[in-house]
Amino acid sequence: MNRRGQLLLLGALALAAVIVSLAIVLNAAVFTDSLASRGATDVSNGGTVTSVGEVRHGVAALVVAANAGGSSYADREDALNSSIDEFDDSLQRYYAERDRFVRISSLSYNKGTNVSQSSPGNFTKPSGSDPSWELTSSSPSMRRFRMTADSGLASSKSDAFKINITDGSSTDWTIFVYKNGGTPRVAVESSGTAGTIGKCTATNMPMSVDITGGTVAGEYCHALAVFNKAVHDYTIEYANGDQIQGTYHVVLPADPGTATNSIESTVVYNVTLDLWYRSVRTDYESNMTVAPGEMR
Amino acid sequence: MMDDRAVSSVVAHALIIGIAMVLVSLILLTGTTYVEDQRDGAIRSQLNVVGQQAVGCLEHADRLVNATRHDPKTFKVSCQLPDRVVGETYVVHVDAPAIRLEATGGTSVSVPLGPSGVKSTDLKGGRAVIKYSSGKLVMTDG
Repeated sequence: MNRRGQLLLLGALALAAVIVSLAIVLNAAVFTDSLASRGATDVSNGGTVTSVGEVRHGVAALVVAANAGGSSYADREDALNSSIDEFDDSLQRYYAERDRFVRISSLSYNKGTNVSQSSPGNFTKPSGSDPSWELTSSSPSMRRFRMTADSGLASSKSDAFKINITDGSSTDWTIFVYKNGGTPRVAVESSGTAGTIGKCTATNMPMSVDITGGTVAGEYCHALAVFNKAVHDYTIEYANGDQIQGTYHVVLPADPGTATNSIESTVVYNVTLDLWYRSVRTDYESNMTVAPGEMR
Repeated sequence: MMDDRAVSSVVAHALIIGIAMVLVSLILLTGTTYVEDQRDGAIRSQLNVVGQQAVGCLEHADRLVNATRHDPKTFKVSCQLPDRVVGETYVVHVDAPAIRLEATGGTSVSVPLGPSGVKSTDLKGGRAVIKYSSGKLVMTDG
């Protein structure tokens, strides 16, 4: 009887050891679950990419604000310089409270031309009032191309005011702005295989169209999103410019030519910044070019 | 008559001990196999999670590189991966389009890797550092 008891005791001990190791293994499995749920915050590193985006948006707003004021290019550049310095100060303070170091300093500015018909009128050639004319040819890029149609829209697509945009890869897009049964409408067509891309409508006039931002009357317009695919070297032409009344603005990196001399002003096209970002996990420095509302 | 037992008490003892031994060793054998299986499963799932984290870290680094249209001048992102999985050390083989993690026990897991501009490297489990050199992300021991 004695030996049987010892055997049972030994067996029980060994079984206990097995159960304990099982508990350890299962515990590790539970740890895995907690590790998996913790991952999300660890991996994004406290939002480095988001911070870079915030800096980009902030500087873009400064560029827009500086371009809106000032009477000469030198004024605008000075205004931008000082506002970037102030932004840098507030970035440093803001992120210092969050255990991070973020700072920016401007490296260079590129001049651009703001073509802007800011008082309502026909979209005809500023000199000579030709209804069909070329706004710019082979512009390396463009940004903040916006227009507002107040009135005077054609009632059929065939007479409609048209914007023809051609890019370096010779893809043509045509934007038609007209009224369809009293509803203001923007239609986009492509000469390529895409054909009719789509149309967007507004409920009433005036209708604002943000071509580079892809919105009509403040709402996202999928048809205009195709311009994200356009690469560079844009040629912009207006046709039937007498079939619309309103205002338009576009910022181009180079001088668009003589056609628009009377409605041009020299502005900051883009800014190249030096950006530093330091945190416990990240050490990052890069140049960054900010051109608000540029097509990519 | 008491003397008429079929077998002696010695034989009875031997029989009982024998049966008990067979039973106990059977339980132990299945018990250890079960624990081994569980352990393997735990290592596998943990390696999978660690692999996902390493991939997440590389994808984050990739987004950061692409956050501006310029090549970064300084680039260092560290990732805190665990030193051990279920008590075993492990190695990470970064080889686009996948990351393979292998524990010392031989269990290995592959996790698909999204970004393509990643240099092939091998590193030990634990703290890892991602750098950027000549257009590629390089993950090394931290």
